[in-house]
Amino acid sequence: MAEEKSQASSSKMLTLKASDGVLFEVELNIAKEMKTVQAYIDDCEDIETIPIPNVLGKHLAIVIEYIKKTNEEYDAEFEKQWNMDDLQLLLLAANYLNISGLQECLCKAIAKRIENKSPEYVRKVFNIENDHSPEEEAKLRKEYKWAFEGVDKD
Amino acid sequence: MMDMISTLPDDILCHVLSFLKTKQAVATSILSKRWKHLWLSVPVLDFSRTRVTDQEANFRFHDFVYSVLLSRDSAPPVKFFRLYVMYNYTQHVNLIMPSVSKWINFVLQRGGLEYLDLYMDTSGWPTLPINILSCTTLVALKLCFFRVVDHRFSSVLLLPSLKTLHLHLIRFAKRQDFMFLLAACPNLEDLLISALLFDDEEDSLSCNEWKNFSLSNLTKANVDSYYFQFPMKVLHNVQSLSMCIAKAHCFNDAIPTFHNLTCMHLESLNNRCHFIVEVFKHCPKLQELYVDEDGMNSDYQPWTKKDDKENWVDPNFVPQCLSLHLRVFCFSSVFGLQGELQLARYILKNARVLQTMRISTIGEPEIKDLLSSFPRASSSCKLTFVYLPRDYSSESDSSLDANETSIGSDA
Repeated sequence: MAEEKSQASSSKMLTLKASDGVLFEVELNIAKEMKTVQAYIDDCEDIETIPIPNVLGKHLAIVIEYIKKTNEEYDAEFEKQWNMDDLQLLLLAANYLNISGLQECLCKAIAKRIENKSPEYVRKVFNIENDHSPEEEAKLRKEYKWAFEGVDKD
Repeated sequence: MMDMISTLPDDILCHVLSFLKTKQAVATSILSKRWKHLWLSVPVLDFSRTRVTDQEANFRFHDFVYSVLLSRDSAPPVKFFRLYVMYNYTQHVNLIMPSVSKWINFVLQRGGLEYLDLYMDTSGWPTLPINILSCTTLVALKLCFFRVVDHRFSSVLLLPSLKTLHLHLIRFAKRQDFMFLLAACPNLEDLLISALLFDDEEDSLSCNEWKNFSLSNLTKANVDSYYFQFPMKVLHNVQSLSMCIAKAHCFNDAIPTFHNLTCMHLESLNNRCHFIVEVFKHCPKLQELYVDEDGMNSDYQPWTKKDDKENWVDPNFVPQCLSLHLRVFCFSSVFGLQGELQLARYILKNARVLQTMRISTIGEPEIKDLLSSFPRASSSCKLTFVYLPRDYSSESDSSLDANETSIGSDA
């Protein structure tokens, strides 16, 4: 798949501008994997520089690298490299840019990191504020009792 | 850092939850109000690797599954359902199956089920809820440890969307019943069968009735032919085949030509090396061949030179796959018997495009020199030896003492 991409007849280059001003020159067919960018191109045919206001240069670089290289082995190794904060930001980027393959890979990676962890741990890792009332939380714990049994103390 | 994850759209968060077991997905309901109902939209119900410690825990587990299903009543239908339960005590099947059948029927009735994977480690054979076999949306079905019995059996079978069927430890009344099941899956691509049992031991497949039956879309098959001599003709279109050869297997008995077969794994060869020649004859496009003398159903006897009975004779023609296609040959659990050595020699002599021959020997490390001396038709062939001292009490493939030497291509 990587080979097909590099042999694509279209060698037209596009510039993507990240939120912090970093510029990336990419081949058209790579850029098109990001459906958001594709939509932009469809709208304005002659565009040469596309702004990506929601994504930092650091993460856009990773995303572009992923699209160029992607295959199963790469996926498996890919997710190991990034910490939880980066994974979340990458998922936000992948969602904004509309890249389904990368989204899939990242959803799976994030799920793997919270597998078997307690709700308390998950809240901490994602910085989720618990806005349930104590009664509400108690009601849920009672209704699905078995779901709260035997979780990793973390 | 702020809570970024909760800013993602519902469907993305649900997608993350879909990779978790349902037990944990449901627990996310207490994370915050944003998360309270997310798990309800996840089209995956995964109760796998559920370990039930005692009868009390089992009641709580059953309660949980009922609650989950009822809460999801008006939610999007379940596409993926996996139930894999182990019991730390003796749980009789009759106390489990009525609930399990209800759960499965509930999911089936909502429609849209694509993937179903079931195993319950009860005492006594669970009876398969027969509705499963007429689910028109099912794409993958994996079953372990069930009995298929129902007088309505052959009339309800309909699995037009099924591409993957994995059956392990399944008990049918007759061999016919299994064939009817296969016939109900015309679009099957991936078949795995292992340990199929039949109540009616005397019954054998009537040749004429199934003579022209085959699964034309099947590309991959893994067949344990030890208890049940599988009609090979059914598999004739496959590209990849794994087989365990039964003790009583007749070599020429209705073996079709496998025109598309490029990769084959064979187990339990038990030193019947001439069988490999039959494989070459019937698989003209074979590129990769993996043979294990050993395997689940082989004879666990320490072989010695005295058992070396096979008298090898080189066939008087060279099969097409050897001349044109065979790139990889891996031979495991080799003792160093005459038949094995002659087979390896024959292949080296004739396989013109062979790139890799890998011999894993549990017998004589000395055969390495002998094999390296045989003439090779392929100048780019790399010969690799792994010496694994045999430990009969261990079933694992990985060895602590593997001594690997590689002999590169010699001109």
